[in-house]
Amino acid sequence: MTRADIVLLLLAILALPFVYLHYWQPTTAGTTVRIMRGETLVRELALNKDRRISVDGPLGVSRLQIKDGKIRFTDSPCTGKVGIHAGWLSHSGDFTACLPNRISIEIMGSGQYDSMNF
Amino acid sequence: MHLPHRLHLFLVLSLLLTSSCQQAPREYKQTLLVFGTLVKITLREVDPALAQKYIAQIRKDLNFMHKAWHPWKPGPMGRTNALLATGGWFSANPSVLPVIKRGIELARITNNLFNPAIGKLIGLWGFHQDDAPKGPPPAKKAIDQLLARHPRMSDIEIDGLRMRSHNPAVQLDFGAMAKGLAVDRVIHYLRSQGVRNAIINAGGDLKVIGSHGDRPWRIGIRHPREKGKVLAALDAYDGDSVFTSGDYERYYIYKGRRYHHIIDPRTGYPANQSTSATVILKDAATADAAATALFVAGPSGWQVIARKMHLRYVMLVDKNGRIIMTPAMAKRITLIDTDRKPIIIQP
Repeated sequence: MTRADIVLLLLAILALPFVYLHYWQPTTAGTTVRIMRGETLVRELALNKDRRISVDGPLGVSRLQIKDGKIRFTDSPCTGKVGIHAGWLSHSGDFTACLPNRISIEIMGSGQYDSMNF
Repeated sequence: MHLPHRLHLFLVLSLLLTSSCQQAPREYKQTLLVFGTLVKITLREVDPALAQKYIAQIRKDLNFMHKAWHPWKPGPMGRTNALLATGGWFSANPSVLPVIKRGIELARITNNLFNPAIGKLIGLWGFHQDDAPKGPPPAKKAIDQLLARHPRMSDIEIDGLRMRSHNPAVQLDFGAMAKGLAVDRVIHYLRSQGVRNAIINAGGDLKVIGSHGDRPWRIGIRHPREKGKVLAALDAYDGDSVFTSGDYERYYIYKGRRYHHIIDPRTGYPANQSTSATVILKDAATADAAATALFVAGPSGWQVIARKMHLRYVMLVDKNGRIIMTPAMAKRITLIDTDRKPIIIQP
């Protein structure tokens, strides 16, 4: 085995953790959230940055909060408050909406779940 | 090591690295705001142009069903309700006749705990409007008056294409079955087009075709009380419908008390012994009705319904947070965000 072979092997071994983490490690939560108005994408945001978002809908403003990798509706001009009742969402495939205001959120990413039942 | 060997080593290592990042099969996801809810469609290994064609057809079909079966807006079901109230024979609208027939069958098999004939009662509670009710709850006298008239699906007589009701208190509301029926029809359409792997999730209830590549579809079930948490996870296989009825979505609080939309046809009040009931079945309409009936039956009565409907996969969370499930469900479900041990009961 020549020096070049050893270098090649070392490079491959060093690359293994990256490959594992990047491609094989199962994630437990979604990584981004899609915010939709009706069926139109308003924004797609990473869940790793805490922030508050306001989205205009036909009834008024729906307010969202991203914190610690989760997102929730904090306020919405819907009497049913179904979106607020859903609480924090963090798992891929989960979604909720303020339907009368036509604002919905969905967690995207290759997480544990393909779809959420509720 | 000679050059060919080094090349060989390089190729093997490259193959190892790239095998992990092969292009994933095409997954097409679309959200539709139809049928009074969010419908999430996931199609795998489908050409994007074809996926768009399928989704356009699904939108059209769901809009048609929504209008035809809507319990309180003008349309075929509304006209049917008006004619049922007269007591006379009339020609049934073909878009609602099969729905009513299924409703009669499912009401019978659930001992009327799934009872789509109590539309007047659901309306009395304020759930026949786009906006959620704010309370107060209806007067006991008004509830008792409606209950005393015993509206049931068996009051409807069907003769070919004609029907009539023997009870003017019957008012149809298929809110506890329509979503299941619609999901069945969408899945049937996708299969007819050759789609082999898909999920249709309509407002939290879902049915799957095929698998997610070399593994089954993975489904999470929301915790009925602890917001943001997942109660359980399960693998869904070809044709599985996973339906849950719960008291945690459509409800209002009046004077500190929760009033939700699943009305117990025996008492006239929201069923108060369960927080969620989950069913896995192949037929989504049956799963939808079964989840409602099991929720209403609660921890003391669910076994009767499960036996009568031959349900293998049932999970019920009662008002005290106890998690009850059938042995078959226990084998295929994994509890996640709970310290509770499941109570396993053979129906």
